[in-house]
Amino acid sequence: MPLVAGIDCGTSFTKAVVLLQENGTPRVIGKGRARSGVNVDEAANQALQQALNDAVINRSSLEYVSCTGFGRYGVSFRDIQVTEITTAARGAHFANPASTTILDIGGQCTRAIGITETGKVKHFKSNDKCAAGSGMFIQRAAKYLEVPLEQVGDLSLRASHPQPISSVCAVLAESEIINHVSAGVTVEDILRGIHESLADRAGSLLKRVEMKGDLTLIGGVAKQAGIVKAIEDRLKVRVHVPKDCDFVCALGAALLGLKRLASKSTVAAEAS
Amino acid sequence: MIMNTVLDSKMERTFDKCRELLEDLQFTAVREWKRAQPGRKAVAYFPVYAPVELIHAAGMLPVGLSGAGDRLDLQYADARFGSFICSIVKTTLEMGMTEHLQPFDGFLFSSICDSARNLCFVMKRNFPQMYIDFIHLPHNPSSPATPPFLAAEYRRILTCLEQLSGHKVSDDDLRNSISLYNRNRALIRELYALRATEPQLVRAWESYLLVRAGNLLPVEEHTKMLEDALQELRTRALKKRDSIRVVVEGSFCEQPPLVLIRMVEEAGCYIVGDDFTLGQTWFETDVPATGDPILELADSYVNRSVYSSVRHDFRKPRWTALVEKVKATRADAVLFLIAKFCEPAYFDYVPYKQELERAGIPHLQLEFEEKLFTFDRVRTEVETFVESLVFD
Repeated sequence: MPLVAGIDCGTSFTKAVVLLQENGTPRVIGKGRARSGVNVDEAANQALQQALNDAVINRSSLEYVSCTGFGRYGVSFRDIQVTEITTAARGAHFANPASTTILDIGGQCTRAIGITETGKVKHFKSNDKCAAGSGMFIQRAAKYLEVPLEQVGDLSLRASHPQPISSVCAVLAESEIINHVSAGVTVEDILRGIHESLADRAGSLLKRVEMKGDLTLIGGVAKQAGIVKAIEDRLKVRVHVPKDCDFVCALGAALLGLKRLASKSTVAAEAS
Repeated sequence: MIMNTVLDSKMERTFDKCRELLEDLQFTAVREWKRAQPGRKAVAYFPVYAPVELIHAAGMLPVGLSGAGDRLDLQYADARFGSFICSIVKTTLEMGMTEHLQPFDGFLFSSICDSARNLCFVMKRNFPQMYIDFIHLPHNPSSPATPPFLAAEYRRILTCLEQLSGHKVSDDDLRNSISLYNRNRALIRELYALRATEPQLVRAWESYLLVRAGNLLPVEEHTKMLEDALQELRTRALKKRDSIRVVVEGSFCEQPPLVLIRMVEEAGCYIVGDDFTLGQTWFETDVPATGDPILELADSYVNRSVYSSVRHDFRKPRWTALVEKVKATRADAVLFLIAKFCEPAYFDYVPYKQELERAGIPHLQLEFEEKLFTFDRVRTEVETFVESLVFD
């Protein structure tokens, strides 16, 4: 029964999953998360240890570790590194095999990915250098509006007159938020305006990957109900958010790790 | 092993020399050439193609401009060009405004795009004392009137160059220059052929350095450098990597940062074909060094040029030529590496993309600026593209 780990070294958080394959079916048996901070290797160690504790297994039982995310090259104990686009595709396909379009909204980057029926990347498009279309923007806005991040999604759903944020720059968008606050706009309406702005930006990325059918939304921001509603309303598309949406890339990395392990075992068997 | 170490350190010195040449915004090599030969002049040309044989035959040093990379901050050019103009146009003007182009006695431009065309006349206005000329390269290769038209244009340019150098050019001078550049271009073709057949022997960034150095060196010296390098590269014993084979398209004018070319290779690609510094590989076969040399140069532009986004030849569309190049180099895919705001490259991306999709050839489009300094995002995109081709 192969046992592997996938670690997603994101810009804000590092996520790890431990995957066990039984009778040909992979199953997540442990998850862990740590703030990425400045030491990628340490964060990966912490996240993995949490996932191992969750699974109640020893590190020595792991046969393969694959890493993804911006810090994938910084993990000293990895067996392989794969990009977060490839792992997002594999993980999202595993979570929802019917969907061929994925939107990943992470801390610093938003990506639209079109995949094949087997989960291979067909097209992908990332947002530009600017953080205006990513989770970090919501985080900064929440801080300015003095709203805990975990309440942002529900507050956004209560908006009655969403206020658009038209600026394409995160810094200028913050000025717009300040203007809305001074004009007496409610926090709910501002937050919904931010979500709609993010949805519009995502829409232009999705068009470029030829969006078809339902959309699978992953990444930390997908936990906010407000962004899901904004995307459904603005882009007229049904959105599927997998359980543990922020662990999808780690899951994809682990799945690819299983594949590599299987091919290595085949080569070893042929050699003997 | 010892042999290889000695060989590689010799090659390293050559690559270092090339790197220093192309990073030197003071054009020290040009200044030294002029100091060693008092009275002789240097003429710079803007990409993509210029008939360097005319400059050489007139006894002057032709130098290919390639922008200023990330080594020059814009102080003046932004006031003269819109924000949507590509980087190489602005940095070329900036070099002029900050006296970096002082070693040159003349400049040639041609009709590759609106921005480059306007740069010629902006330069003329800002440097009225300089010889600055615009070569009217033809846009209709199908007409029988085209070679004579271009020959007449070349004769006009040659007369100006003769006045600048004070040297009357004979047909034999021109034939000699054509022969020298034929040899140089043949060696570059050999280098590209080596990369396509044995990509592990010469990396694309190494070949790029070797070729681009030719923009700044006398052709005789550059040819010797290429001869030595080819001999040495063939004896390298380097292991083949598990990489996909790609053709890079779209970098024919503004050049991508060297780090970006290296990064594409490190992300899992063998670049087995490209259009970097395209002017130096402009002709598919030799220009005949017999007959009327001016007419032969003009006829070669019309009938022997490589396909390019800056030369319109519908006798064989360039998208068909790209697919042929992919097949000839046994490439798995095409990477479009396009400079920000490069209109010819972006216009052509659409028909190229359509033709590649018809032929079932995977492709990826990336954008760069010569002053690009963060490469993580591009690296992730290239790696993902490679992974999509190598993982089941």
